[in-house]
Amino acid sequence: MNGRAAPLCIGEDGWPEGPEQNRPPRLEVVPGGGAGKEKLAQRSLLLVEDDPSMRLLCTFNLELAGFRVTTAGSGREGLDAARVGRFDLVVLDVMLPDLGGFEVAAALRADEATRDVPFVFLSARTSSDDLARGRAVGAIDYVTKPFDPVELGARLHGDLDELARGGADDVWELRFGGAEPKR
Amino acid sequence: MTTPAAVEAARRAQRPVWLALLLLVCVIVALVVAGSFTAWRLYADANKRYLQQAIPVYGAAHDVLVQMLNEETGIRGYVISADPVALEPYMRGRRRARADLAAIGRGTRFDPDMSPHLAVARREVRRLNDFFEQQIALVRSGRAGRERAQARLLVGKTHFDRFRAAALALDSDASDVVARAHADQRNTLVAAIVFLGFAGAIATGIAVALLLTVPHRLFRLYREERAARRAAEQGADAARALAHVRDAVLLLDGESEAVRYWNPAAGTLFGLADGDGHSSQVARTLDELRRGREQAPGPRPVRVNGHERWVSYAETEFDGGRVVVLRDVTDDQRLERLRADFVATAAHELRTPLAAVYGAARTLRRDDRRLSPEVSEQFLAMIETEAERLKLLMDQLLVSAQLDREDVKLQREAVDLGGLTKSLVSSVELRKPESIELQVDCPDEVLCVDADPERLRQVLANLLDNAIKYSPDGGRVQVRISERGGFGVVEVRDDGIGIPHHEQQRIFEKFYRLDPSMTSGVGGSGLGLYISRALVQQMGGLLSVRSELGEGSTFSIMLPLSDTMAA
Repeated sequence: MNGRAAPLCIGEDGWPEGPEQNRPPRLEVVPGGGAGKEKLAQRSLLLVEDDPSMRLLCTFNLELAGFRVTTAGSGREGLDAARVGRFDLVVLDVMLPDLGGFEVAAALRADEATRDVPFVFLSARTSSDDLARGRAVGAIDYVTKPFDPVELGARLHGDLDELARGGADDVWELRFGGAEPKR
Repeated sequence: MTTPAAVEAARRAQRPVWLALLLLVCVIVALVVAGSFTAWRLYADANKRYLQQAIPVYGAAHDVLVQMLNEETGIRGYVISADPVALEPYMRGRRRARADLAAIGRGTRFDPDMSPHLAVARREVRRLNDFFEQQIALVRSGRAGRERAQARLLVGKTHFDRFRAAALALDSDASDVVARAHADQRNTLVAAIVFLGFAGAIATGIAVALLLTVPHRLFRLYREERAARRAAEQGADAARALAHVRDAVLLLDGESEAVRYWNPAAGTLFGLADGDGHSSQVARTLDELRRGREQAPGPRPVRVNGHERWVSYAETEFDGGRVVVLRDVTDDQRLERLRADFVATAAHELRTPLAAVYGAARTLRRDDRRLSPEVSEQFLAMIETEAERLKLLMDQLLVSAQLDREDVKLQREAVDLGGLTKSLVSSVELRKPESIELQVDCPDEVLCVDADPERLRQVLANLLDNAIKYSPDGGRVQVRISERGGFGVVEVRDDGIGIPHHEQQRIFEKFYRLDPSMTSGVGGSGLGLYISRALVQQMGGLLSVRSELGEGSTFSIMLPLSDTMAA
């Protein structure tokens, strides 16, 4: 079955513009990711989510939290967008019409251009198996629905800060108390 | 085990034996009595016959002495008187003596012991007669002869004495023979009676011994045989019961762990054939289950003949062996997993709209930003829409549960298929994406089908939603209403990529998705088509799909035309 393609959403400032453009400079760590940061401190984020309501909610709140948000409505669109642009973070839904979130993550990992982009899952699938699978494919965090969109930006900023200080394992440790993912 | 009825039956069984043995004792006693009587009769007859033979001899032996005495007396008278009349007794005695000796001779043929004395007696008689003839001749020769004869009288006496001795010996012989024969026969009789008595006593003893032991033994044997038969029947019943038990039952030898018995279910589970008492498959599986049980109770997955089976395990030890009961709960486990999946899936499906409602509410209540009225309106609309989606999901879950319980109440009435479809399409028209075109092709005449209008509307809405959801931008969804062979038909066609043939039946299964891991796929509960088909079927109709990959899909609802149409 095919999914109905949503037009690729580009952030309000028109970014990303092309592959040659480098990752936006990150001048300082923004603890808590409060709103109203300087433009240079803005982190770019790709949201791959097929549900329009969730897309609207996340975009609205993440932008208020200082992210520059690009959205994609399906896995393939998301993958294309990730290859074209440079993002500080990719937020992936797990259930997507064409290509599932885990597959998108694996494709990101396999591609030289997107290998180092950190990603986070945002899903209604909440079993420990799903979390373990998310960790196994390399996610730094796994946000389960329902979640508080107002706090989401702070959480993602926190993830990125922790990642800058240590590594993906530290982020996981921060979020899940170091519980070993079960397979 | 020994019921009063069984005892009574055993008693009845030993009665003929009792009678037979009693009869045998009677026959033996009768034979002994008859034998004794016969022996006594034989003895008496023989005695009589012997006496009949012996008595003439005995009489003749006496008589010959008397006749010889008469002869001697006659001769002596004649010698003295020379009167020939005096010879009369002599002549008579001589004739009779000869007859007596002949009788003795005849009679002693049966007893040779008498012969020697008889010969002596005959010789003495002959000598005496010769002497008497000489005396008669002397008397007849004249006076001198007569005097000489008188002078020889003493000589005659000597002869006579010798004859008397011989005659007495003969007489004694006869007496002896009679007495001896009598004694012999009596001994024979006594021996016969003793023998018969002895044999009869032994036979009677044996019969009595049999009488005392056989019925009792028979009673016991009969009881044992009945008990054995009942045990065998119970064994057969047990085997029959085990043959129909769904659980696999194995009887293991206490020492060797060899399988001494298995029921058909166990044979099927392990693929056992005759002579497979030492199956390594069984040993391996039991070992695995025992080890597994030590870790955690409950059913465990084991590989049996290359297939994974979920098996619960119970073992009972007894003197000399073990009974193992295995229950194949693979199907139960699958059902349980389906149930768990259902709950997980239902929870998962509810999470997404709930997340939207919760997220929108949280956003509306942000205290750090004042939202513009337009944005607020957007989030309020989201709450409304997602709440409706939640309600729809809840309804679907409930209907699905009702269908599982076969607890769906349907109304039946004549429904105008065209009217219902058109009203539904016009409401869908309002909320569908603009890029998708919606067409309705409806005949002029009214088509009424026998259905529950509310449920039919649900089914049709579900098909339209699916068609819109899976149509590409610029796609067209066509709804066509027609009549075909007594059925009203609604077809919903889309321009989507279509459904592979092997999935076309499975999409009607509960929670079925093309991607079972649900990592991708358009949102939805996975219940819509399942519920739709079940409802249409309960309305007496049919929901089917035709599809080719790349050429879109057509879902058709066929419902029987109502009676008003038929009439």
